[in-house]
Parts: sequence; C-alpha cells; structure tokens
Amino acid sequence: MRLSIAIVVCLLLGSGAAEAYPQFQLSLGPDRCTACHFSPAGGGLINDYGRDEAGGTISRGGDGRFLHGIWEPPTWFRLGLDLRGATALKYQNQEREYLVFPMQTDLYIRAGGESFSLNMTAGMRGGARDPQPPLVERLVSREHYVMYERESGSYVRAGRFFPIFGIRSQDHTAYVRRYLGFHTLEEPYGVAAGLFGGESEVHVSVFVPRPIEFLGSGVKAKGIAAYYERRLFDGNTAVALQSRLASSSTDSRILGGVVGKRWFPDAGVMLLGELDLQRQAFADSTGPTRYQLAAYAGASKFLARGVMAGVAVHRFAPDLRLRSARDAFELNLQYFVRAHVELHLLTRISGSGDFDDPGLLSLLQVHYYL
Amino acid sequence: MHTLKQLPVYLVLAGCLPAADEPRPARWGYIHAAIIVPSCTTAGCHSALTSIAGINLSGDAGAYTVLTGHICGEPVRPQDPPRNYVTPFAADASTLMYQLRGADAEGRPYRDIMPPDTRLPAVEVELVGQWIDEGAACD
Repeated sequence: MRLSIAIVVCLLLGSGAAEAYPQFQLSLGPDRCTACHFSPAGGGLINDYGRDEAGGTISRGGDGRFLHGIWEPPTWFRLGLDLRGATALKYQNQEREYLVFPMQTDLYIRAGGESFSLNMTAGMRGGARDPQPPLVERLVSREHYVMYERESGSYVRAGRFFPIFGIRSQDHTAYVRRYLGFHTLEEPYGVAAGLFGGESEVHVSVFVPRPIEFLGSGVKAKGIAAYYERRLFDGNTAVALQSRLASSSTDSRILGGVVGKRWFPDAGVMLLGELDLQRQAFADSTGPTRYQLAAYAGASKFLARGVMAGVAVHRFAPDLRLRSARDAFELNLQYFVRAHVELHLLTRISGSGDFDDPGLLSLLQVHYYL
Repeated sequence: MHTLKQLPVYLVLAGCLPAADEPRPARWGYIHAAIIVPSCTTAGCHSALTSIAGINLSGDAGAYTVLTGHICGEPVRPQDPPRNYVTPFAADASTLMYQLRGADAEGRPYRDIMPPDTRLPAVEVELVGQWIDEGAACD
C-alpha cells in the first residue's frame, strides 16, 4: 500500500465560519442555538447568556464579555470579533512542509432592538498560498440580513445566510457541509422563517443565487430548504428531519436527511449524527442521474472543564452506483483555555475507494474572539 | 469487503435507485459538472473568487480553456502540440493526470497532487483519463 500523506490547505483558506459547536446544545443545558447566539442558526455573535457561559462553563474561566468587560457596547449595538490562525505540518509524496497561515478575521455587528435588527458578518478571507491578493480583494461578507423576531419564538429574516440545515458543524470541511452546498462562502441569498416551540423548532428557507459571482463560490442555485427538530427524552435527545430542493443551470438536486443528537449526562458523552441522501439530475442530458450519500457520525466527551475530546467519521459517496465513496476519520482535541481563547487540534485521515491511498491532515488552530 | 460495507446502503436504496445501465459519459460537460465543480471550485481553491494559481475552474468553457489551452468549440487534433494541463489524445502525457494520480507516467511520485486533501476516487480519475484519450473535446 502506497501511503501518500497530504493535508487540507486550500480547503481551509476561506474565512472559516466560527460557528457554534453543536456539541454544546443539550450537553450544557441550552436546547436551542438561540440560547447563546443571536442568529437562529447559531454561530457568529454571542449574546449575553452565551458570553456568561463562555467564561462560566465552557472554558477554564475568565470574563466572556465583549473586550473582557472593559467596555460594554450599548444594547442596541452589539459587536464581536473572531480571529483564527492555524499551523500545519504537511507531508506530500514524502516531502515535508510547515505552514502557518491566517484562517479567519471576522467582525460581527448587530444593530437594532429585540424585534428588528440588522446583522452583518464581514472580514477577510484567509490564505495559505502565495501570491496573496491585495487586502481589499480579500474583504468579504458571509452574512448580512435583516431580521424580525417575536418574543414568542418566531422570526423572519432576509438577506445572505445559510438555510438552517444539518448539524451545522463549525468545520466547513465536514463532508455534510463541503459536498452539500454549505462550504465556505457558499451562502446564498434568501428569506427564511422559523418557529421555536417548547420541544421543537421548524425552519423554512427560500434561497436564490448570489447576484455577483465574486461574493462567494459554489453552485449558484435557487430552491427551498426545510428543517424540523424535535427534542425527546427529557431534552437529552434531538431528532430532526430535513429536505432541500435546489436547481441551477447545470443540475437539480433533491435532498432528504435526518439529524440526531443524544446527550448521555452520566457518561458525559455527546453523540451527533447526520445522514443525507441526494438525487442529482444533470441539465440537458449531460449525464445520468446519480444518487449521493453524505454522512457524519461523531462522539464528544468533556474530559474536564474546558477540555473536549471527540472522534468523528465522515462519508461522501458522489454516486452510489460506483465505488467512489470518500471517507474520513478524525480526532479532535479542544482546549478552551479561558473565555475568548481556544486551541483546537484536528487530526484527520481521509481516503477514497478502498482507502488504499489515505491522506493525513493535522492542524492546530488558535482561536481568539471578542 | 467493500461490497459488504456498502450493503446496508444498497439495501436501503434498492427501491429507488435506477438500474446502472446508463454509462457515465466521458464528456467535458459531465466531467465538469460531476467531478470538477464539487471537487475543485470551493472558495479557497479554484473558484472565481479565489482562483488559486490563477486558475478558475468554475465555468465550464473557461475551465476547459485553462486545462486544455484550447477555446471551447475549436477543433482539437492529435498533432496539436501540448499546451496546458491536458494533452488531448494522451492521458499519460497530461499533467492533469499526474496531479490526479499523484504519479507521472513512469509511476514516479508527482508533487503537485490535486485535490490536495482527499484524492479523487479511481473511477473519477479513470473517467477523466478516458475523456483525454478520446480527444478532450469540449462537448
């Protein structure tokens, strides 16, 4: 068996979204993303409760407030900042290379009251490869939308954002994100509405392609996505059904999937899973319709306060009739040193087909947020 | 062994999958939509946004020109000199195949492997090779 060890480089170049860790849902008490985040999808700007949790339960301590509590912005104007860098060791055909590169610089702004708000995420794309484009060409806004929320738990928003879908891993290279249209800067424009109930939540999004090519990447599709999640067994389990219909100039896709989350409080173990099946039909009889499968299964355990270890398996089969599956096995070790600071070591072995030519990714991320 | 691993998936989908009697075409339109776009045009790689190494593979006609050095629609002849990453009618002489296989025609390791994270499945690489051997037309 020939072993060539390669590493994700270009896949990590984008301004990787500092989204919520889905492992925190259920396991730390909150049953929904909006307990800690302003966005109904989770991720991005953290609210007051989330900032308290950042120093109180997630990390080894510290003050999670903006600027460590030195200055508090007014309640109608919320700010946040994510800075993320990475270092990696690369082997490729027996050649070794060390890399240090920026991954993310994102500024979050939320202006408005409890009902109406304007939300924006803007920053610079990272980059590991030379030549680097000028800074002004690296400016990008992944999300910008207006939102109307009601205290009862419903919302409507319009602008640029990902439809609420899947486990919403912070890792944009997870196969259920990378291959299903949720990779870096693939956010479409659209309108979404949702409702949070006591034990369930439902979200529906209608989306259209970005109007300008240089706003992002990925297939420019229009369509609709729906996600329904229900929590069971004293709030320790969540099960979701989801579907997405998308149509572009080159293909049309029909996707159905299921998401499962299970927290075992005695063992301190969190299980996450997602399974999606997609039918892809090519336009103009370009080729035969194919059926795809994307799956994720992971387990995480809080070893101590501020220390989380996890394992995960990824699978993507671009055509179920062929021996073309891609698989990955990964280990994650995350150390939340203090509120605002995180170290994340990700090690992933990936391969395709019979896995006789795997690649290795080992990446250490340093994450600081305000 | 591999078939056994796939068995549950096949059983679940047995009722909805079409018969595998329609071959995948070794045509550029299919290769671009089914292989190049999902594997190569993500935000940090060869998308229009980033165009790493100056290579934008997001559009089919543009990607064809970048890879072959030919304008989509112009005739490609066996006697044409090699241009960019694809040498029509000669997969074993094409840089693109070295990158996808991670080895040159003599089997020596090729450094600039693509994609750099997870290699394409062999069936995908073979289809690209077939397209090149058949003339690498922009069809």
